[in-house]
Amino acid sequence: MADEAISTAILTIATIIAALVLVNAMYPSLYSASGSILSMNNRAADRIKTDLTVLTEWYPPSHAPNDIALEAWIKNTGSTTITEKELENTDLFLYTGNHTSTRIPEANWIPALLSGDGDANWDPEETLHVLVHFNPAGSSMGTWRLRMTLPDGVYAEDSFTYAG
Amino acid sequence: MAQNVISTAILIIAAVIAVVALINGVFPAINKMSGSMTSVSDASSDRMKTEIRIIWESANQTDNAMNVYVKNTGDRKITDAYIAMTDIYYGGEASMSKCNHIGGSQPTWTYSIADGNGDASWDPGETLDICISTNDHDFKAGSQRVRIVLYNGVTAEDTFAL
Repeated sequence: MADEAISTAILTIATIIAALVLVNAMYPSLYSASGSILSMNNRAADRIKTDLTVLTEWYPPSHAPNDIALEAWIKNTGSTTITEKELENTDLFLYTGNHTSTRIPEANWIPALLSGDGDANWDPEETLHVLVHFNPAGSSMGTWRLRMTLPDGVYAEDSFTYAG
Repeated sequence: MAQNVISTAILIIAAVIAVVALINGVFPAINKMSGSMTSVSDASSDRMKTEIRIIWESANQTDNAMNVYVKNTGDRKITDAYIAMTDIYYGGEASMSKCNHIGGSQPTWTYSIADGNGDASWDPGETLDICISTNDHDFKAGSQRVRIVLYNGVTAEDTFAL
């Protein structure tokens, strides 16, 4: 009777120790994997909810020779708010025909929210007006393309005709 | 009676020694396994949190050079030391060539962080402007391909025509 109780106690202790060791070995890995999966999931969800539409572009026909002063209107057609910080990390590209294109440096385009709610964030349904300063000298006339890319990689683009 | 007590005592001592020996034998193995699992998990976690996207290509210099704009769309900051460990491949549909490392002979590549926050790291949301420079590859000829492989194996690839 006594030796049975002792054996059971020893086996129970051994089982508990084994379980603790296993949990200690597995838990950090599981915890880390959970965080990474969550991070991937958040990024995918963010991209699915983000959407932009370039409404139209316009430039003054009598623009200065060294500045096209291109204007574009882009609507946030997604369901996420694009923060002021994210707007700072947004890229604008201009394809100017004849296999050439350029990234417009941050200093050369000015964003302004139209009919917004007063904050600096680009909320869903709000329209962003963009004024792009670009020197068209040397560029060919024809179909040009404007692309805006957000920090999460979501982009919108539209073609327009540049007639000089 | 005394014989029973002695037998039980011997059995208990033997059992305790056996358990201690088992724990001593198994614990290092479990500890090592735990280290390996943590290492695999960390590497996997790093890869899952790292993501890049090629967002634009342009050939606005010469026919033998082009710029690739790549955005850090992940949650990981990629330091300049890790950027330097990046492998870049370019070519057409059929085959690709590998660029030599920064500062090497052509084909080679250089980079700058476009409108970054001023530090040398490629932070989430920032765009890396990579200039691939070759001796004789015509990037304007037909369908082109570029592949960027980071230090941890995370890859971005794009097929395009300039």
